[in-house]
Amino acid sequence: MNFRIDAQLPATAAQLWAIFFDVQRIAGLIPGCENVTEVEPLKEYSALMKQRIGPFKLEVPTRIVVESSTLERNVALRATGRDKFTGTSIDVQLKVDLDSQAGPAAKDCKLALDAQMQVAGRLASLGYPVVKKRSEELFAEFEKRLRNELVQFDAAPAPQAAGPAPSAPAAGRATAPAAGAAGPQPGVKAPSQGSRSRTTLLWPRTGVSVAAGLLVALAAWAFGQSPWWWLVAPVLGVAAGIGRENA
Amino acid sequence: MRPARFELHRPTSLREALALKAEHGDAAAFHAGGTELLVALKARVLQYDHLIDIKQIPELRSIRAKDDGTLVIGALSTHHAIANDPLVRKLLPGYAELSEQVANIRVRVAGTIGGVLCFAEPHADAPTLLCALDARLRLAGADGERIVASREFHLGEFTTARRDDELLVSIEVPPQLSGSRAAYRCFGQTERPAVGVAAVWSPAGSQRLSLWAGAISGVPTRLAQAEAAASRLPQAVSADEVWQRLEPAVTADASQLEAHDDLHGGAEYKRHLVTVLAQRAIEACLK
Amino acid sequence: MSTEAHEYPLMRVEMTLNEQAASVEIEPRDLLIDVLRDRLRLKGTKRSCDVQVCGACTVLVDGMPVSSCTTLCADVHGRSVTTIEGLAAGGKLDPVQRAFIAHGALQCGFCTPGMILAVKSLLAQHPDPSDETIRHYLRGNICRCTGYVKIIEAIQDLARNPSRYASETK
Repeated sequence: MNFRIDAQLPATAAQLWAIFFDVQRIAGLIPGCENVTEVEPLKEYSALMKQRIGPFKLEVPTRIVVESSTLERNVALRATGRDKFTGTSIDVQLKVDLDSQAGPAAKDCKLALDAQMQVAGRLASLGYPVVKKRSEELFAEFEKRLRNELVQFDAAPAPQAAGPAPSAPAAGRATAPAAGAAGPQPGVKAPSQGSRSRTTLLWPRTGVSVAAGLLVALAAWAFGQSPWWWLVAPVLGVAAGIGRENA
Repeated sequence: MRPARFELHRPTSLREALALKAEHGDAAAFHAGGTELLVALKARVLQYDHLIDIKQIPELRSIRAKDDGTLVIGALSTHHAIANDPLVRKLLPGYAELSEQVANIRVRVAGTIGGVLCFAEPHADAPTLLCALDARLRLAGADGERIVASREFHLGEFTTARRDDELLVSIEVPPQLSGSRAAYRCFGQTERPAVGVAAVWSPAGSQRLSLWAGAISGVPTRLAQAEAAASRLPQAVSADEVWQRLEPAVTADASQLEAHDDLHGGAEYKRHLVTVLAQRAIEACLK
Repeated sequence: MSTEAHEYPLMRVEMTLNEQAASVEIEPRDLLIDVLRDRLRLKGTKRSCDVQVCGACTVLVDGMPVSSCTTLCADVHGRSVTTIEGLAAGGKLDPVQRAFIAHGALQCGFCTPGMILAVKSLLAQHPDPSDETIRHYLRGNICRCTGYVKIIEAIQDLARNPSRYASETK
């Protein structure tokens, strides 16, 4: 099964990255996903996926791995797990691509979220239509919750409770209603909704920026420039790491 | 493979069956024909430590008519028994006909109407017609009996209004008005229907047409616009004209039905089937 | 979930099997097909799909077809069960079997025991079945070899000319 969300949001890539690279936050938006815990920071997480359809119960201990990531550009997650009792296995590959429009500082970013999901095993064989329908419902609910998270960027109005996508094409794509286009146009600054924001150091951006600053300082020293670079460069790196984080 | 181990109980009364269920709770399930439960147990996607066989409880088996013409069908009635019962054939030939074409002879011999209703697999036949007929379901629990309308019984796939500790005792179909006809038409690639449509045509009634679609969505669904259009039909309308006038409303209803692409067919195809089967069911009533 | 056998009492099932009394001690979860084939060594009943759709496992219980793969042995307690072995009594073929042979209504033979038992039941319910009745009754017995034509011809011939296939007196 394949699911997609495409949206264009009045936010910087950095702001969206803060959400999508926060695996615990994203996993928490999935209905039925519980006990999301960190196993290895930024690399591996575990969760318990619970679903119930009438008398049929599913409990899938899930391992979520960050397979790849490029800062503020893309992240690929893979979640796998198996319910011992029904022999049901789940394999989800989630890719998120952030595409800044008109420069990284511009509050205009394209979001492309692609999920490939496979459910296999005895329960899926016996009742694939119901499994598929439930998967579509879960993804629709996930999308709704995600859009609520993104409302802070004055993105699309609260998503319609579209339920399962009517006339979904055979691939089962639950394409987002054209909310990205219906929302504020790029370049138009919508008035703040009054959400509180605080100034803080954004990670891992700050770490990356400081490291870059130190490298510059090293290079400067190596080329016989003023040793004052050792102080200035990292400070500039920290400054680059400061950003607004919306509450 | 075999199911996981369980203990099999054989209560001989309703009270005993309910007591056993109260004693074992979630670890127990009622067992009748087994045509759905056993498949799930063999596949080990369900497991119970106790099975409560209800096949030897006499009050669950009879088919009879009340004085006012209400047809009372015991929950343990098999499709085969219903199809061949003289009372059903006389009072509800459309339902006898439906029961005769469920799945195959082996499922009809073992499977019960109670099992079909309570297991609530959406791709079933009888629930659609019973909703169109506005049948009532009698449930028995530790604190007595209650009646639930079939139209309110189905809540979703594998989910009904029956509480886990209740037993379905009987299905009661209200007396049909003179001149009423009921028909059910379905289609599917497998033994289960992809889509089924039930029509009850009552020329003498205030509601002329009761039209329900089943198997396509999680629960049987009323085709309301078609029913409204039928009530606006002139009193004297020829059989040919009826479908001509109802078709746009039926198609409109079908386009709004919840449907998914799956092994039973694509969503658009299933909606198309609703219109085709509605025509067949309505025309069968008018013949 | 404990798997201690003593917590799940065994049951004794008494039935009439191919017109003879039979008694077996079984676990409640034992399926009829396994008791027939493995405990009672009656291998004529075949397991094919194992989900009651193909009909290969058909046996008759009180004269009516059931899927033995999806029937608890416990559920035939006190009832009469007929397997394919019950048809050729004393080594003499049943009329249905004779008609099948005469018409070539089998090839690999795997569906045949179930098919023949279903036909026995069909003819008991409908002694002179129409083509439509035959097709409807046998809808759940799947044959991958014959294309069903010979099967239907055999049934029609038998129904119309029962004396042609009556068992020999010897």
